[in-house]
Amino acid sequence: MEIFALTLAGIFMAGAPLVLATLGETLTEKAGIINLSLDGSILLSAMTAFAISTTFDNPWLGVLGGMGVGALIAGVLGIIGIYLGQSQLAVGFILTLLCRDLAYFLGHSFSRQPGPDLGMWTIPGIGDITFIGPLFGSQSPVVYLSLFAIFLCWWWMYRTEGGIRLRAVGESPRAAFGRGIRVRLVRLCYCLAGGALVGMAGAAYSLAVKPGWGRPQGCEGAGWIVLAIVIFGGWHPVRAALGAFFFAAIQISGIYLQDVFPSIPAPVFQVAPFPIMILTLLAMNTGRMGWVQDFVRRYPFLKNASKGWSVEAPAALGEDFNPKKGL
Amino acid sequence: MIVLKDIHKHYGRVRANDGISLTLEPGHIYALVGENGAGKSTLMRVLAGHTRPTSGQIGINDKTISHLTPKLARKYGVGMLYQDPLDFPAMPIWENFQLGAPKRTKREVIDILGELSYRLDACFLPDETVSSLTVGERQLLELLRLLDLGATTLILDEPTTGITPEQKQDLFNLLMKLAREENHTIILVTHKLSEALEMADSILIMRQGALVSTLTPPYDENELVSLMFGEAAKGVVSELPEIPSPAPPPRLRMNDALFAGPKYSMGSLNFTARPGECIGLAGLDGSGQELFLRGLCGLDRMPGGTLELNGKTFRSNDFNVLRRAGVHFVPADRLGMALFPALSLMEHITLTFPDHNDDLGEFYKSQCVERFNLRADPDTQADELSGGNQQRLLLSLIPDNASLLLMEYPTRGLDAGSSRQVWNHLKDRCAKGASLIFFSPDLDDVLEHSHRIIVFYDRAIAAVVDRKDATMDVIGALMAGKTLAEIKEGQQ
Repeated sequence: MEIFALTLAGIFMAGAPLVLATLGETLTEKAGIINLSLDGSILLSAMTAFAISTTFDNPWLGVLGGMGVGALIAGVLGIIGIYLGQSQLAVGFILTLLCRDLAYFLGHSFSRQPGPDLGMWTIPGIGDITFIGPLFGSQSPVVYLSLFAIFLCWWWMYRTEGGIRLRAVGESPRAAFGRGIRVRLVRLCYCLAGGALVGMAGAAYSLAVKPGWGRPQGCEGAGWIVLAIVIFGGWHPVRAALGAFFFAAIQISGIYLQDVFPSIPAPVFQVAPFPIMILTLLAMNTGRMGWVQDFVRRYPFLKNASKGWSVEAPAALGEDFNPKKGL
Repeated sequence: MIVLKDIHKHYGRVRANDGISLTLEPGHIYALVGENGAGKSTLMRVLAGHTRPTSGQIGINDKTISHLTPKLARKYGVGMLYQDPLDFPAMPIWENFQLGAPKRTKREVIDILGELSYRLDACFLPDETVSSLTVGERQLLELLRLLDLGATTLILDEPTTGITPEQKQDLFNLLMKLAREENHTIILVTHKLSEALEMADSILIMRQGALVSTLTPPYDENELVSLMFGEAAKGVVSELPEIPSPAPPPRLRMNDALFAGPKYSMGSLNFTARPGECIGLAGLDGSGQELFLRGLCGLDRMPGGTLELNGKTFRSNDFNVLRRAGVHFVPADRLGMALFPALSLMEHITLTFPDHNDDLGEFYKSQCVERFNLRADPDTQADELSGGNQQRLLLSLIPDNASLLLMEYPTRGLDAGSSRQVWNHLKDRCAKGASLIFFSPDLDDVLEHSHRIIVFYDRAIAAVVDRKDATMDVIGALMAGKTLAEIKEGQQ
């Protein structure tokens, strides 16, 4: 029980930055914007967060700095993509490469330096409870932050006016414009908010999950997998967060399995999560395949079981909207 | 009172609105009539604040402004209902209703929606998504929303496309009530004269971007027609071709076919079409007619049953196999599904008729210009063509030996002259032995141009009606879910 709880705690820790970035990208994509710059963005904000917290000896200042950088990069993408009408995909991709190189270049002097990290938060009174104690009694702040962010995103998207507006601009910008919503401004706002969350994910890497800066930092590639998890999560914050934890779980189980099967080369376990993710994605979306639909038709009781399996992307994802052209 | 003064709206060289002035008074029902492309919708979008005019002035309640925004329009009580409802299909009904309104809780929204729909004899389940509604219900929801926002000037753009005649009557009664009892201004945008004659206190006629005339009752129908269509009114629509007797062997036979689309499936389809026959499909949006056409041409799957074409049996419906067998599909979304928007006319011809690569210029001239009257430069890109020319190009790409033509809404977006040309061409093909199966949301078209009509209801064939029995009332009732037996009973 103790070991299981500790493993779970490890999954929460490893999954925290993935969850934060996934939520950020979910917000952005729900508004209809694709931010492809995640991977570079996470790296640059991780570097910035570590540099600021070392310089000022305050890790929370570092987190803020990381969020600022994330929002700034998303803002560049937002302004070029939304207001200047350029391809979000192309700009995002170039930003990824730019930010990655920028992070290694600017962060050179902080490489392999000791620095502060976010440490642990201890919640008094629950440390002795079985299972809950090892899991939540003393954890990194980013774990609490990520769990809170899941709730906050869900609540905002599905329980507030702002959330309705967010989904509206991603669903049909024309209709949203017709209802008096300032489509481009709303989109830019969620682009920035999503970017800030992605920046927080970067800070979570360099200040908590894999403390320190170096080349490689260890969070390389996380941005790409987050883009996949967003699709996996069907653009729903809770489902996407579960996807992020699921990925963290298979990554961690790789470490355990390595001890159990020492004859299998280590890289197999490092690479395995990626194909597993693809297979899971396929399994989640089988509902769309013709032969599955025929099968369900033959056995109607499967219909209820298959409900909610296949998901639709926001209808206007990646679509440009210019109110001056009118409807 | 709303006064539009000298409104111009230009798209590049196209003058969609060319100096339009008109006055709208409260409590009146106006009908804005004109052909497709006359500029009616553009003018109304200007009035609803969805499009900014190139120049001109709008006077509302003694204030004069250069243009409206959606927000301002709402403030002045102007609301517009689009032909394709401008809503959010993936989102719940109550959210669609609330969006754009002042802040309210979900409970309040549901109460207001319930009360409004009770008053208008409608019923909405607030947590269902809008995609589960029919087009008619979506329009009604939009109408409720506009009324809730306090709209006193209601613009309805072709509101009767895709709803049953019965629903149309309900809508018109409601509009009449709003105008007479609550002093609302109603503007009905339509290309159907019968609707204008039935409803309007005055009829505004637009042609080629200009307001040519304003008529008040009593109306002279002939005058209206000539004002609306000009010279084009004088064309002749050819008669439906005779089906040879004794009847030749069937062109198409469906044996217990099962079609499966992404959203639903339709089984036990048995139907036979003869050569030379024009078959119209009628049904509300999503009733099955779309799947019927897409399944027949192989765009949606056929997991069960067989198709027989000219005596040859097909167990599966592969698109390319069927195409080689002479089945050709023309979708309603011409640019999106059938043409290459960025390729020129000539390139389309080159791609489709590789055999003619030696004498392309000659072939183009005989095929497009002479046969189809396609008057455009061969280097024009497909997306720069008018709707009529796009349809002409598409039809000219279908080889002469096509034996089964499947068409979705053949006259979508076409003006009267082009529509007539398209119908004459299709009938000509049928007279030469092809079979035509087409769908149109315009019931008049279906009634006029079919030997037989298949009516769809609730994702199944409700009835197959012969030309001699087909009236607007019968087809409308079948579309709304009545059975033939019930209709006969009602008539007695």
